[in-house]
Formats: sequence, structure tokens, C-alpha cells
Amino acid sequence: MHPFLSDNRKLFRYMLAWLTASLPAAAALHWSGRAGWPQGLLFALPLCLVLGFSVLSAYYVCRALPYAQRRLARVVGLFGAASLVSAGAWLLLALAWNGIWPLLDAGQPLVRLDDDAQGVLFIAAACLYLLSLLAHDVLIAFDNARDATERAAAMRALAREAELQMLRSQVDPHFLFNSLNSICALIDLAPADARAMTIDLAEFFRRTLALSARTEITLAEEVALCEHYLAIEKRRFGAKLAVELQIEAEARPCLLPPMCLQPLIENALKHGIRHLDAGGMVSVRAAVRDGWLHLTVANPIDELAVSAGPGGVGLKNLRERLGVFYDTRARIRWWREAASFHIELTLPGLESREP
Amino acid sequence: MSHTLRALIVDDESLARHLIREYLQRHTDIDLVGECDSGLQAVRDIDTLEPDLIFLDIQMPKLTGLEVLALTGRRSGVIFTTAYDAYALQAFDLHAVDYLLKPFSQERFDAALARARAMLGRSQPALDALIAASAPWLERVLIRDREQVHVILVSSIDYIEAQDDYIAIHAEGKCYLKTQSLADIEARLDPKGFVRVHRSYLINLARLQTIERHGKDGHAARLAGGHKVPISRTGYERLRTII
Repeated sequence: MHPFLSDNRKLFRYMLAWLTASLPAAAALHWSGRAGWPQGLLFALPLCLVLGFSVLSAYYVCRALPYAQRRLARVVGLFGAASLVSAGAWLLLALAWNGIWPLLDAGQPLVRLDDDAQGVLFIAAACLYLLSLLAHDVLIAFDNARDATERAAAMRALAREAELQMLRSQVDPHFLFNSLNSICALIDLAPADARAMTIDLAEFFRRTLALSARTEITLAEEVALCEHYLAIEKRRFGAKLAVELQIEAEARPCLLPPMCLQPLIENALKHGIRHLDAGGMVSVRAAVRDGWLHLTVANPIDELAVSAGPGGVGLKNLRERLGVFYDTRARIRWWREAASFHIELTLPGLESREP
Repeated sequence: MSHTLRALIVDDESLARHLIREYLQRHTDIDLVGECDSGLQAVRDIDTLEPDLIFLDIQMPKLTGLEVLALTGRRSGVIFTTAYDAYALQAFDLHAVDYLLKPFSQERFDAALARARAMLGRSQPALDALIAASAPWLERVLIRDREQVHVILVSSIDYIEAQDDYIAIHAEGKCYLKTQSLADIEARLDPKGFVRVHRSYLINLARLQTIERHGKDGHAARLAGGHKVPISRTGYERLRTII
């Protein structure tokens, strides 16, 4: 359906424009001595409305010829023929409207329509129809382009959503099986610890699953998840792992996408602490400064380690996720300082509306 | 009973070692001679303790279980343990090498032990194939220096020089001596990375800076770090075909 026909307001404005156009038409008839003011108006008003309606049909003509099937000859042929047929039909209507008056009450025709006037009317109607065709063509081209970009954007969003879903549900199998193995050992060694570790593991997975359904969580929730994760890893690493969490009170209600902090801590253990014979301390800090949430994770690393930093998939994923969520308003950077590795996330410090 | 078996546990997690220790308790004929929390320690202990059985974790930092075997040349009495390593598991299945998936039960442990016992002392050719498949070229070189064991990254080596019965490995400004022939180590290094430029010299292409004229019609290689290594005529031809 034509966009004007489905929108009453647009249609009203459009017809109003045509009504106003009937004024200069009547004036032209008057000054050329072909009709008086009232007769001219009576002639021009309905015919302008009809012309206004009929040129809208150009929309369907344009649609009938999709861009993919266009050849110059076909376009010229179709557009030309449509303009001529429409102008001819309209001229016949004008002649009929003009000729009906003498039959009714034996009066005069409204307008003196000589050959010149008929020619002008026909050419004007044909040109208007052609103009309408061109205008509609451009309109449709714009619409198509917009639709295409919208579709592409929607597809990208869907693909991203699917990817996020997959990333979130992706649990490191190494972590899971090693934790179960540790529990196996603890059952004999320290049954109470085995129980505590089972509960931490369950809690960690339960929270991971619950969070995966949400697009944003508070930092407090993410930290709780990390605490369970760290409790498990502390049992696995033993005395090698020390943890220092410094989460400022005003940072806790800040919102961020789920699983932003946990992968950073996981990296710190996997690429840092694990490679050190003496182990070390992972420091996690969260602070709000000037409306920005700063999250930093620091850990000691093996000075002789070849890999200069985490060029890994995990960090690439995190960067992409932050890009989707914050566009360009999030920053992630990392640096090496002698024997320690630092990573910092800077995010807009948006707070949860809930108390 | 014939004699007690000497066993070594290699795993970087203490709880994982504890579990194996616990499972070993019912096998009174097995004497636990040592526990290692790193691959490096394992390389040392396999050499000095010469255990009959090794419980070897695959996923360890710095030196993996497979690298420990590659470096020590140990090919018998190995029972692998792993939590999850898709790549390694595929290789194991391909070469029909037994392994324990963590967490494992006492029964599964006993079965693996019985199997290893039956194979005791016999070299397992499957292990050779497995190690060859896991790392076609050396990534690390092991240097034993009395009590110390150094691990050198192959990528950090500038050049290797043949000296009588041993080779001198020049890396990161230091020189390490190793009893091995130059041809032997050349065969284990990626030929795209290392070129024998002289009867007594093997250079790391990544460290090569310039080839200079030397003497009348000889050449020499200038390496990053300032070393200058002579190039023989055949060595020059070999270099030219590669570069």
C-alpha cells in the first residue's frame, strides 16, 4: 500500500496541497479569458483532487519494475506509457466534467477548452505524472536502502546475542574437572572442606547460569560470583594463592555486563600465579572516579615468561562484548610493570536504579 | 612378590597428588619415592630417582607432561592423568595410550596400574608416536648443570656451536654446554628456523641480521646480540635456498 494511503494525516496534507494548487490553475483560466472565477474554480478543484490521487498510482508502477530487472528501454517505455495513459484519461475526465454542464441545465460549459488549452492540460498532466514517477522511484530506493541497513543491523545484533549466549554458557571444562578432582581428594583429607568446595562450585555455576540470562548486573553481584570462584581456586592452589579485594562502597551498585571481572581474575591465575613456584597475590580494585567505574586486576608474573601479555581469546571476547554494550565509551588496557601484570577496565559508572 | 615398585607422582596441584597417594595406599608393593609439583622438578627426579612408575599430569605450567617425556627420553612406566585437554585426548586415543581422566575412581586407577604393571620396563612405542605427534620440533631445550636444570626456549637461541663431544648453546647472552651432537639437535629443530651454516655452526634464522663478506671469498653471519658466525660454502648455498 502507498505510504500516504495508510497515513490519514499525510494524505490530508497532500490533498490540501493539491487543493491549493487549484487556485493558480483557476487564476490561469481566468486571466487567459477562458472562464470566470467561480467557473474556473469549479472546474479546477475536483480535477486537481483527481490528478492528485491518480499520480499516487506512480508508486505501484515503480514497484512493478524492481531495480534488478531495469533496462533503460523498459524504464523509458513503461514510465512514458504510464504518463501518457494517465494524462489522457485525466484529460477525458476534464472534458467530460466540462461537457456535463450544458447537458444538465442547458447552461454553458465551465471553461472554454480549445485545442491549445487541451494540449496544455495534457502535457501538464503527463509531466506531473512523470515527476511523480521519478519522486516515487527515489523514495522507494531510499526505503530499500534503509530497510537493508536495518536488516543488516538486526542480523548483527542477533549474531552478537547468540555469541554472547555461547560465551556465557562456556564453562572452562578444565576448571570444572580439576575442581571435582580436588573435591575427590578432600573427601578423604578434609570432609568439611570437600563440602564447602562443593557448595562453592554449585554456587558459582548457579550464579553463572542466572547471570547469563541478564544483560547487566551490579558490580556487587559480579564480585559475589568472583568470591565463589576464588574460594574454589584457593583450595586448588593452596598457599600459592593470596587474594586482595578492594571494592569501594560506591562502586558496588554500578551496572556492567555480566562476566567482565571473572575472566580477568581467571587470566591472572592461569597466566600469572600458576607459573610462579612461590605463587603470589591477585589484587582486585574497584573505584568510581568522576562518574567512571575503574576496575583493575593486578598479579605477579614470571619475569622470563615469553608472552608479553594476554593476547588470548578471552580478552578479545571481553573487548568485543564491551564494544557491543558501551560502543566506544569503555576502555580496556593492560601493561606490564617489572614482574607484575595489570589490567584495567574503565566503564561508564551507571548505577542501578534499585536501592 | 618380586620386588617393590618405585613410583613418582607429577602434578602441580597438591590435592591431585594427594588423591593418587590415597589410591596408592592399598598397593603395598609400591613405594612412593617422590612427588613433583612442576615439570622441571619431574625432569630432575626422573633422572635421579629412576622410578619404575610415573603418574604424570599433562597440563602443567612451563613444562607439560609430554614435554617432560620428550626431554628425558623416558618411554616406559608412564600413567598419564589429565582433567581435560581435547587435543591431548585425541592424540592419546589415536595412539592407544592409556590415561586417567580426573576425577577417577579407585577401580579405574587400579585397572590403569595393573596395565602399567604388565608393561613394566618395556618401552612403549605408542609413547614415541604420541610425543612425536604432539611436538614435531623442539620448543625447549633442557640443560643439566650439576644439580641445576635449565630450560631454554628454542626461540631465544642465537646459535649452536659444536665443540668436541658436546654443543655450546648461545642464548640470551649466555652459553650453555650440553652433551649432544650437533647433527642430533639439528634433527630435532625446525629446519625452517635453524640452518646449519657451517660444519660446526647451527644458527637461528630469526636472529640473523646480516651476511657479511669474510676473507677472500668466505662469508660470515652477523646475529642479533653481536655474534659473528662463519659460513661455509655449502652453508652459504643452503642459506641462499632458504632466504
